[in-house]
Amino acid sequence: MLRTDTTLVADLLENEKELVKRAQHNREAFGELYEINYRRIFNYALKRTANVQLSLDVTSVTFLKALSQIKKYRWRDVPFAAWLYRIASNEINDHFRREGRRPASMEQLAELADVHDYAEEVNQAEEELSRNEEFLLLHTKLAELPEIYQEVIVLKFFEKKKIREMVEILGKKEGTIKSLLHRGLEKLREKMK
Amino acid sequence: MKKEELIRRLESARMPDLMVSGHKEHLRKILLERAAAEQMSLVDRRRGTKGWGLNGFGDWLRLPAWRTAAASALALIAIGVVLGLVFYVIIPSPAAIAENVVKNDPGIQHRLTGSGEIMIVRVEIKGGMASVVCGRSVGDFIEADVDLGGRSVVSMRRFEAIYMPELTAAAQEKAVSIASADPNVKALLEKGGTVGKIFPIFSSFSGATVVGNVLKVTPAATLAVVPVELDGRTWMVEVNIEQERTEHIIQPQKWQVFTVYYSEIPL
Repeated sequence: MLRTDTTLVADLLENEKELVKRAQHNREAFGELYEINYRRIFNYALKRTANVQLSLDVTSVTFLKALSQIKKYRWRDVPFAAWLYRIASNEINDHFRREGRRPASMEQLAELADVHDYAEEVNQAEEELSRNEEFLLLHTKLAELPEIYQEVIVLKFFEKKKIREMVEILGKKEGTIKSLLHRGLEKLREKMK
Repeated sequence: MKKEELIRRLESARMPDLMVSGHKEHLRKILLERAAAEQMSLVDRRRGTKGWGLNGFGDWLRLPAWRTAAASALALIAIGVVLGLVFYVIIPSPAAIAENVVKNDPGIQHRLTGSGEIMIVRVEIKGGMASVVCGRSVGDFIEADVDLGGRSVVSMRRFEAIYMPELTAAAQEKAVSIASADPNVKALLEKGGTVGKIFPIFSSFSGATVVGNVLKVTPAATLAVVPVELDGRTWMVEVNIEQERTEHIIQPQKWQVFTVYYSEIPL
């Protein structure tokens, strides 16, 4: 029997719901959620910050916070990733609000930073990032906009998120997001002149 | 640059898709260690906790969802009950505050001529002020402005005219008939006592209308007073017409007569 996209998505969501439920009491299940979402959260942070080390920190804080809060997480029939995006967004915004200083949450990452043996990998990632010239150019202009516009433009155009997903991630109404997108694009267009 | 072109550039730009495997493995290890430590810590706490006892807010958060919800609901109900008591018992309503201020104001007590306790006829709240119409069962009416915050009467005024229902001729006749049946009244009448002008008194009011300086009151309960005069003295016989009985006979004393009774005229 041919399955429709709708039923497939519903099944995937149902599976994820079960996984999240297990992850609330089982560390291995949380490990599965981590495996599924690590790459997308790291790359989202990268698209927001264009900074490898900062993105690694954001990713670490996002999952550490998710681990500490997962028992309070309530399933709302939207992908679990939306919650992780939200945590990551808040961390990035917090970082920018502190004018580049590390948020208090990231100060706790000393144990990660001091002992890591992946410095060479970080250097390689930075090199690879530098080859994405068009992205870096767009990001430079984007970084001149207020955070909220950066957030909606990155989610919509870089992360290819649908408006409905953005509603969940940003906790804003659909109309507000559309309006922010419209104004954000106008502002970015001005910067690109 | 046109908006469409900008959108095209944003959509077609090659995005970084990087991975730092060392970080991923390192973070995974730390997360799992923390998760394990938290589970152990929770197990330890549960072993040291009996029944519903909680060791701080952290344990509260770690309770199963249904227990947290049930405990929260109970706490909310308790808070609701306490707030209800505070609002409805301890903290009086603005109308109750206004009534209390008026009834205990020396100026009102002095200026409100007549007899009987001060009765509240109508209370209207307007912002932090209350307009209170009050009167005595036999006597005058006053409208007072009460500052609810300061709990004081800031001004008062008399009415130019007061309208209230007068007893009908049939009610007056019935009142005399009921009073005459009382042995004491009967004795007075047999000694040559005469019945004076019958008037109503009001023990409560169901409402009032104020138009300019004119007050129209609606009594909720009415008694008829049948004055019996003999040898220059007057006995006041209070009659409950509805229940067809004499309520009270007031012995002769120095009476002050009030002339505030008017026939009912629609306002």
